[in-house]
Amino acid sequence: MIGTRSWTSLAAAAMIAGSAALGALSLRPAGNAEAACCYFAAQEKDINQPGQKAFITWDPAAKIESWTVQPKFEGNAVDFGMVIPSPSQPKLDEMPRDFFKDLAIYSILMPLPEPIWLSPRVGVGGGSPQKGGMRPGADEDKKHEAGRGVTVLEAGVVGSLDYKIITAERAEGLYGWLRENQYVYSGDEGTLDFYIRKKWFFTVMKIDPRQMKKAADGSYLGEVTPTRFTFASDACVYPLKITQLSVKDKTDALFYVQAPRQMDLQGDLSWMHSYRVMYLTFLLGCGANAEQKQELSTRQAWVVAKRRNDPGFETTKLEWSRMLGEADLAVLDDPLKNYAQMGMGTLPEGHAVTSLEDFLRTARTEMETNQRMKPEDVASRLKVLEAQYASSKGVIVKISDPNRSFNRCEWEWWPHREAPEAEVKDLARLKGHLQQGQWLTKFRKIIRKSEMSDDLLLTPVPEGREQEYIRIMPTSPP
Amino acid sequence: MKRTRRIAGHFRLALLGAVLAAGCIDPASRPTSWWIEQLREEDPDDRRAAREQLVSRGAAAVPDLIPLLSAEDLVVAMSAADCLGTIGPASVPALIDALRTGPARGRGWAIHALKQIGAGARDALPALQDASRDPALRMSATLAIREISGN
Repeated sequence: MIGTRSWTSLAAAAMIAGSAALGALSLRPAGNAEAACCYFAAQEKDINQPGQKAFITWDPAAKIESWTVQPKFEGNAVDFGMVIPSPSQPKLDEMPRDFFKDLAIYSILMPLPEPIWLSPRVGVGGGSPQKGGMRPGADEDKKHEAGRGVTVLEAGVVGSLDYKIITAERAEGLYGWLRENQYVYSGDEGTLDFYIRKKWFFTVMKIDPRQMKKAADGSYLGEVTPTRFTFASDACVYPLKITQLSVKDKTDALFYVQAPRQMDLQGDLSWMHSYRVMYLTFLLGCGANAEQKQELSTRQAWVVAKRRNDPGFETTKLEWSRMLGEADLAVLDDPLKNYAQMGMGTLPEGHAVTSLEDFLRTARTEMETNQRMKPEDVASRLKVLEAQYASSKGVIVKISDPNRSFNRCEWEWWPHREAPEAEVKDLARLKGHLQQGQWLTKFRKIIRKSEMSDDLLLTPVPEGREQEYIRIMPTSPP
Repeated sequence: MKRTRRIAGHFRLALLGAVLAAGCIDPASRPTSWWIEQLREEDPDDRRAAREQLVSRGAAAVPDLIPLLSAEDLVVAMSAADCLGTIGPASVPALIDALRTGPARGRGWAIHALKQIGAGARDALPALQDASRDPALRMSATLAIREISGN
């Protein structure tokens, strides 16, 4: 991986991969304000805000793709509707209600390691379909409405949604059919035609009143559960264009992509444009080499030029990515035990985890012998260190060669990441959905209406250029 | 007068002898409790001497050392753990007991002592496995298990 080859030990520490040397570490959230704010940021940015959220799986060998989407539903159920085009007839499954919340918690970035100073100064798919599919007698619904050029292939209920899978010959026929059958579609015929020409299928959905709680005023209450669409596809695509007309000027889109290779968007939309600038800027502090400095300069110039020509341009932001190993899946087997230092795995060369007791002993010798601190000062400093680096809050790492440490120190503190215990416990729900040996990549893009003229195509990152990203960096993406 | 001076002289000689004898008290004759208190001395040399004496007493010193694992003064706790670790397998039963039922504060040091004993502390492996489920002890217990079992 280009990242690991060029990293210093801290950069390597920032992206530890591989099998667990010590097994998973335990977790109990303790008072780490920075780590806690990551949880609250995730709540807002990853769960509440995004206009579009999708979990995409891609099996290039079988050419099977899946999208899991969770429609946002606010207000009167009769106003709710979705039209989702796909390259082939999809199979629909209900997904866990809090699926995207679980993904957000799972992918909270780990805190950055800190120096310790002894003296004060510091798809295909997986998953467990819950229910859904065709309702009895649905075969009768497979009918060709010759007048409209619309054929209903399948009808059913998935979660709280009533759906039909249809094909269409003509955009105006489909448009009329949607209106007549009371499927809310805020788009235009041109967009429908875009997909009809590609011979795509349409899943149309509306709330099934029988599945929702009714309020006193007759409106329906509740969340629309996430739905997974699984279908054959020649490429990994996401139907962005159909959402164009329902977007006022831009939409915040959050993607989780699971595939054998790390996935990215193409061209200007690639997350490499922002991630590499953030990462290489970080590396400048560790001693980036000439090649890295040149790449940073080139990429920064690209961003500047792009924004000069297009002031509203926003880069795609990589937010988390890793090939899921044994330790990462162990989080789902025992979340409370394994969440805090997920993926600690194999430490960089010259790094070794140490117990608090060993650290305090060494600290005491250092303070008494080399620093010649007074006994009362040693005693009080030891108490401070004991409280500050308690095992329940993180891990102490000893570095044999401080020159190989970003912090240029002999000891580092790797804080646990935090989230409320009840929500961490629920991560077990992701079992079966996340797969060992697959890359999970999370990225976000503010997509302007003008950028929604086509669907998104996701392609693998070239081999050797994968970027693992699981720890907070002190730098920001452009 | 001559007799008085003779008695005073004998007294001074006896006093001098007592003083000399006090400076040459055999350390082994001092009670364990005395050396336990010496662990709290500020002078590192005094503490080192205390550790040496306590270790030399072996299993006999263990009951007095175990409570110190949960001392507020970390230097004392460390010293007690070092002593117990150096005493070796004779400490193991008491350390297991301290790990399972002792004050929470001292359990990390009990684990530390067991790790120091190494392979001779194999009997403690079940207790260490149980301790590894406690987030506050997991890292220490895991490292101790590796050391003791040789993995």
